[in-house]
Amino acid sequence: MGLMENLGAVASTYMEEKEKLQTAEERRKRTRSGHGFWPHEVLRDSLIFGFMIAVLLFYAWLIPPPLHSAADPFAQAGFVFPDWYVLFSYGYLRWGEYLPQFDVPLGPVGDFFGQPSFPWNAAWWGAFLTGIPVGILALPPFLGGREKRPVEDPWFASAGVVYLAHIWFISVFSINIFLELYGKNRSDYCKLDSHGDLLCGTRDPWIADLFNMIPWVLTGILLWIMIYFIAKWLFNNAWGARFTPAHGKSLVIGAFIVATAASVVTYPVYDNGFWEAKGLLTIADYDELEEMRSQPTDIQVHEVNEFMTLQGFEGDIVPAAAWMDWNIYQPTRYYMIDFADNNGHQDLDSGVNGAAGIDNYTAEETIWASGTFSISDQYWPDDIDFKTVPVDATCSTRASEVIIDGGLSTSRMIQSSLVITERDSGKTVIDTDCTSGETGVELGAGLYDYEFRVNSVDQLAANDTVTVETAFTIKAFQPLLLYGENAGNGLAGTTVDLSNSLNMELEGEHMSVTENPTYHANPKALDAKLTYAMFVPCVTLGAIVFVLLRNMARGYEFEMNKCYGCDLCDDACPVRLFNAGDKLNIIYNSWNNEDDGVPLYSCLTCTACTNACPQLVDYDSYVDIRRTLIVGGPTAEIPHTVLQAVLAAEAEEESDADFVAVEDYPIDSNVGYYPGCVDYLDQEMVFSHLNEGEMNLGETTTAAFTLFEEMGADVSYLGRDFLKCCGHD
Amino acid sequence: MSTIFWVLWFFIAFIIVLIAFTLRKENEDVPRREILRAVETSGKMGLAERTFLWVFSFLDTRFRIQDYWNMSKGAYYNMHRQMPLTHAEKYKLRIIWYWYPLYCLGGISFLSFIILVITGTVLGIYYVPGGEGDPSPAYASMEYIMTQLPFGYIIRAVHHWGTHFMVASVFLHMCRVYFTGAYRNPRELNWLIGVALMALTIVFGYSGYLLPWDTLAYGAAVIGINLANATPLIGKYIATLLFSGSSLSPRTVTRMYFIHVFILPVIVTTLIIIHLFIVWVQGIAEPH
Repeated sequence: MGLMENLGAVASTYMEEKEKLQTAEERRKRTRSGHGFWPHEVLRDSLIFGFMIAVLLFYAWLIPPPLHSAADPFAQAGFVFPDWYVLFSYGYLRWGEYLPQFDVPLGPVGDFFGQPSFPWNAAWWGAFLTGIPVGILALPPFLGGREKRPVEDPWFASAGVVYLAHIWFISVFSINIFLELYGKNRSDYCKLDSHGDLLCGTRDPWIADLFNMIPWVLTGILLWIMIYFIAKWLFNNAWGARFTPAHGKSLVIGAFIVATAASVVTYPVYDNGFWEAKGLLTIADYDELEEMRSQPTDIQVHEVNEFMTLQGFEGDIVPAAAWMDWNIYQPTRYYMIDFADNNGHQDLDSGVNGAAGIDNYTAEETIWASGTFSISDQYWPDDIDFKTVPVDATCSTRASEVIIDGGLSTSRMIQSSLVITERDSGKTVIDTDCTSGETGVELGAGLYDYEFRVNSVDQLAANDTVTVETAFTIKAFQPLLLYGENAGNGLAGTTVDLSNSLNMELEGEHMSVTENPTYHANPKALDAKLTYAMFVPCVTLGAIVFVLLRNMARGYEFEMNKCYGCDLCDDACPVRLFNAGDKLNIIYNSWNNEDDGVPLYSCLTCTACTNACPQLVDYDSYVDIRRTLIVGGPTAEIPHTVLQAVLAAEAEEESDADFVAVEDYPIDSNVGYYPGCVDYLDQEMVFSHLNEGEMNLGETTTAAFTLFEEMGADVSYLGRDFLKCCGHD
Repeated sequence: MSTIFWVLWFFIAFIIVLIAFTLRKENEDVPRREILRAVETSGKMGLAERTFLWVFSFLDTRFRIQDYWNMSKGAYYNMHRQMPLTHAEKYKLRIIWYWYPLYCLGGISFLSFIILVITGTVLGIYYVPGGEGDPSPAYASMEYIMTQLPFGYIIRAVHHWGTHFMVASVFLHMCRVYFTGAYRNPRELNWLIGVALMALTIVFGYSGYLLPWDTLAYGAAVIGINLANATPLIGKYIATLLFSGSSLSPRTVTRMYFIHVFILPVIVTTLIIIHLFIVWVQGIAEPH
């Protein structure tokens, strides 16, 4: 090693000597600045990179990537889950399924590419929407300006936070399956497992509830911020300076109360998945939900397990009432309807809540069944809005031969009609035939006449060998009756059986219609909430960042940081001219927590320094705020508009002569003479608009003390170490 | 054959000698002897040092080592002068801004890239692209890497986690650049290159995701090709370009392999070099 070093030294000496000889004149001296590459930067980077590689290896050892079974194009589409960094794109793809889908005609261009019409489907929504956040990234450079800290430009920082929050929530949207699983693994949610046993979640419900609430809580915060700032703006305009910071504090609390109340009251709107707003596109069509006829029923479990006990069910029955807490039934109906007729409302043979018939005929015969059925309102809820129940009227016909006469379809040769007329008004309420039928027609209580007519035409009418079977069913669905919680005999929460007279006798008084707890609850509520979260809560996060940054900006640390010590403020400061001999640099020293020679209470807040500052450090506001912090009073934006302007103009010029020498006046008495700012100023100029150049308040002070001496009064001059500004404008 | 070989070598040697004599400074301003004397008198020198000095000066007179050294030194100082002083250096500030630790994120993504290149090269030795057959060569080679190859699974794991590191640090780096407003004048172009690099990094990740050609890769490929096909007008061309056909086929994995190990590395490496060069020239942005 020694030899190599020697050789290196030789080479280096050689080149140095040669250079010296070649350039006899003085070599330009070059100095290096900043941190040395060695050892500072090398050491720092080695530490960072070493740490990173350690973490990398740790993860590689702890969680090696899996290798699943080999790709099989014929297998059912497996569970696909992309890496986290493309979840946002996957989210858009899933969201695209809810967005409107349509065909875009492409015209001649489309013809050229062999695609006359382009289907704007979920896949293209996914690709298209993915392009937007990526494309937006290309725009910021064209906004102009120079580099800034977030605190200096809260708008673009907030915009960035909104962007990131949106990407976050759309990524969350893509894993809605997991969220649903997670949301259902709560101890107040149960379902039947594949064995027919009750299985309940294990996690405390509050965790899922908390996560569920986040978007709406964020909405409340946004509301709070907006109410506060709008109200503040209005008050400032209306009251002006009389709107004090104390009022502002009350406003913060008031806005909080209002926003909280509004959020709590509107929470069901959110929790039910924005039913009225079509579930933010997750409800394509209310009619689909209208057709949801599932209803809770009593279910006998396969085996009684600990969940049955935990839920407090007697025996091996999970009562119908319990299922309503766990599932969504008939979301369009306020009262649950007994579509399965578990209560036994209908007696079709006797024409109670419906009617039915079966008959056969051949050839030219005609089936003409007519009769009457009643819709009972015996068990209707005590609610004047409940006036109708859904009625299904369906019929069917079937010939014993599908094809006759060598290829003629018999189904086209049967004519049918099913007509229902309201007895009282004589109005036809249902007029249908067996090819369509009517379901879900809302009819009121009362008597109804029906006519069911079937006959054959054409070849079928002439064919004696083919029998035609016909049937019709009319069903009026009554509200679902359940026993209440107070019912005994193990009937609590179970479905009422109207034909079980013993139970009716014992517990009939606890029986009632069932208000639907999932009325106007969107079955796709999770996706609706996530859709919502992609927009408004993101704005909240941006608003929070904006408010926080504005608060930081008011801390002035960052403003002070802009100072580069040019001393211009010092030159402009009228107090310094009076109070301190040396150059002090107010702003720079304040930032360094050093005494600037201009204590906070000596400052006139005349804005001379701010106006002189090439970096626009708002030093006088800083002084105001510092004073506020110490005194605890209102935010001191001293309304010195005229004075400030004049002072600022004056600071440009030489301010000199009229300062009063304070050494002459003793500070040793109980009586003080407070001159305010006048002793520091060129009063003649400052107040020239009042005095036309004749008034000299500096002399006034001198004259005042002359009087004090004549009076024999000991008066202290309070101009030096006291607040120079009285606040008077 | 060997004759041609020797002739070739002599020719090369001749060229070298010719260049050496061409480059030799015939009219030295400063005679070599004088320099040698100056060096020798500057300190005590042994035989080895003397020999080295003679060889070094001999080479210098022929290959102009001094000139090139000075040129590169001049280039270094010129470049160095172009790099602006940091604000803290300029004004001798006493504080370290709390954002500074975030300035290492770009470097971390670069380091991740290097780690990915190294581990990817090792994996590439054993990986066999191809989706034909059951199991496909791609999948079989992945099984080999994961189960047979010594350190195979850990190399793949480092490659896997390196991806996550790279993407995460690229995202965070972008956030840092955005929130310090560093994308603004004069660094607009570099921001745009950065955006392109981010997009290409994601494509890198996606194409690598498909290479094992397991069920997960196949599912991801289905989604990807659906997105590509959904593009209006040019959908099927994009699908053909990226997935080797408008529906998935064994060739898809070969195409992805080509994109992953050839096209993207070339583009990304070039862009990274440009990106870093611009940073070097313009300096890092420090909003104060």
